[in-house]
Amino acid sequence: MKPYQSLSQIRSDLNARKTCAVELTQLYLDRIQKYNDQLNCFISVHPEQAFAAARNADQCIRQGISKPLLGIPIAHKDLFCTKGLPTTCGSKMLQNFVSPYDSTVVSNIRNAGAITLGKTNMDEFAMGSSNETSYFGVVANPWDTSRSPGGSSGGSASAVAAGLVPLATGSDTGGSIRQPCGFCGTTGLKPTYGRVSRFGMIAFASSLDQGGPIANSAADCATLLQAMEGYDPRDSTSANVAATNCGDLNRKLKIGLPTHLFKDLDGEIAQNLDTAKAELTYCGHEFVEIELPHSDVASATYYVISGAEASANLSRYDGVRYGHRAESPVDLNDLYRRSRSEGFGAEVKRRILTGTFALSVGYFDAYYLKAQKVRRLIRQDFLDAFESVDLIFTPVTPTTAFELGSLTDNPVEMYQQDLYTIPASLAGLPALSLPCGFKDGLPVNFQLIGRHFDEATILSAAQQYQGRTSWHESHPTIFESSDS
Amino acid sequence: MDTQTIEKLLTLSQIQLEEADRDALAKELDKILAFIEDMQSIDTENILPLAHPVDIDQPMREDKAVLEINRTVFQDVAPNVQDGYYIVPKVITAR
Repeated sequence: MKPYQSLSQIRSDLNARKTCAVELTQLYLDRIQKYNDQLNCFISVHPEQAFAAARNADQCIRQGISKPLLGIPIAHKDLFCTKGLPTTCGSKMLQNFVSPYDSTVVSNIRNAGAITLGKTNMDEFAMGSSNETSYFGVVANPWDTSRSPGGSSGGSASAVAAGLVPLATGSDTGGSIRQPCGFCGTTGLKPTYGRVSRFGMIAFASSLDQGGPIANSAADCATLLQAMEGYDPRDSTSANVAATNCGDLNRKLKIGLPTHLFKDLDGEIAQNLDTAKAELTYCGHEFVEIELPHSDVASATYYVISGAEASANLSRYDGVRYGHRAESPVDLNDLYRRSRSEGFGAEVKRRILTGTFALSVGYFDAYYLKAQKVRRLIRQDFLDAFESVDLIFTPVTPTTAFELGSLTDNPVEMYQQDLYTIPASLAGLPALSLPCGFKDGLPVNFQLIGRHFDEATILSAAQQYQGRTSWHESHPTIFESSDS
Repeated sequence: MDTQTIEKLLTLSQIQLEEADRDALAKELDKILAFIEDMQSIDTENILPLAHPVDIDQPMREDKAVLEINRTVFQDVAPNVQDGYYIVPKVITAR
C-alpha cells in the first residue's frame, strides 16, 4: 500500500475492500514511528484511540454507511482542542493540558468519519514562520531535513509532505497554512474568515485566525474543507453561508496579477510562477494586471494588529485555571508573573510586549487604531480588484525553505517571510497555496486568492491546474517508499 | 525604547525578565517598532478603523441556558482546586 494516495483512491479502495481503516491506520502509524524522530512533526501520537476509531469505521463500511472521511487517517495541529488528548499549542504553558472538550473542527471531522492519529507540532501559540519556536523542538522539512518546514503549521505540512498522514488540519493567521505548504510542496487553504469555526481553536489573533485543510491536492483540500466548515453558534464570528461546492470549472476566469509584488522576486522562483501562469492561460483563463497599492505596509499593519490581539488573548494564561503554574508563589502577582514568564517562550513574550505597547495609553491611536485604518485600505484594495477579476495570483514566499537557525536571531527578517500571505489575511479572504515547481530541489508554490466565501472558484481552478500538472504528486524520495 | 517603557510593558503584561535581558529586549522591540513604522506613511484621514474583515451581521442564537460541561470537568485540569474553588495565594493578609 502506498502512503501517497488521493482521498478518492483511498475511498475507492476502502469501498472495494482492497484495504480497511485498520490497515490504513497501521500503515501511517508505522511511518510516523519510523520517521518522526527525523522530522519531529508530531507532538503526540494516539494509536489506541486511532485503532478504536478505525475498527468502528470498518464496521460502518461493512454496514454500508457512507461518510465523507470514513476510515481516513488525519492529524490535527496541536491548537485544536481534542477531548481527552493533550493540546499543547506548542507551548510549555500547555504542556500538560488535556482538553475537556472538542473543538468544532475536530468534532466535525470526527463526525465525518476520520481517524485522528495524533497532534502535530507548531510554532508556540502559532507565532512563527519556521516552526522553531515550539517548546517541543524544531520540525524538519522532509525535502531537506536541515531546512525549515515553515510555520506555524509546519508539523502538519511536514507530516503530509512526508506521507505520514494523508490529511492534516492547520490554522492560518498571517500565512501559517500557506507558507509551510510552500516550503513543503503541499496544498493548503486558508478559508474566508468565518467559514470554519474557531470554537476550541486556541486563539492567537481572533480577527485573523482561521482553521483550514492541508493535503496533497486541491481536491483533497476541498473534501477536508467541506468536513471542517459550517455555521457554529458557539463562535460569534462564524458565518452562516452556503457550503463550499466545487464543480467542474467551465467558465473562463480573469486572474489578477499584482505585478509590483513580483519585482523583487528571486529569478528562479519567478520562472516557476511564469510556467504556472502559462498553464492557467492554456486553460483559457486571462491574466490582467492589477494593483494592491497598500500591500507594502501589510506586514507592519499585521504585526500591530496580531500582537495587540495576542496580548489580550494570552492574558488568560495566569496559572490559575489551567496551564503552567509556578511553584510556591509568594503572592498572587508573583503567581501570575512567574507562571507566564516560565510558561511562554521568547517569541510569544516579544509579541505580547509589542501588542501591549500598541494598546497602551499614549500609543493606542498611533499604532493599533492606525493599523486598523490601514487594514480597511488593504481590504478595499482587494474589493476594488475583485470588481474586475475572479482570482488573484501571487507568490507564497520570497524564498524556498531556508536553513533551520538562519533567521532565529532576526525577528524582523522572519516577520517578512509572510509578506505575500499577510494581505489576504488582513482582508479576511480565502487563499490557496499549491505547488508549481522546484528550485534546487526545494518546492515552490503559488497562491490563488479569491473573493470572500468563494473558495469554490479557487479550488476548482486549482483542481483544473493540478489535473494538467504533476507537481503535487512529487514527494521527497527518502520518505516515498511504501514499506514502513 | 527606554527602561521606563520596558518596565511598564512588563508590568502590564505580567511578565518578568532578568535585568540583564532587558537591554536585549529593548533593542529587539526597537527593531520591531522601526519595522512597524512603515504603516505611518499611509494617509488614513477620514478612514474608519476595521476590526472585522468580513461584512456579516452578528448572528444571534436563541437565549437558552445549556449545561454542556459541569464544573468538575473543567476544574480537573486546574493546577490547584479545593471544594470547587480555584486556589491562589492569599490575597488579604492580617495586619
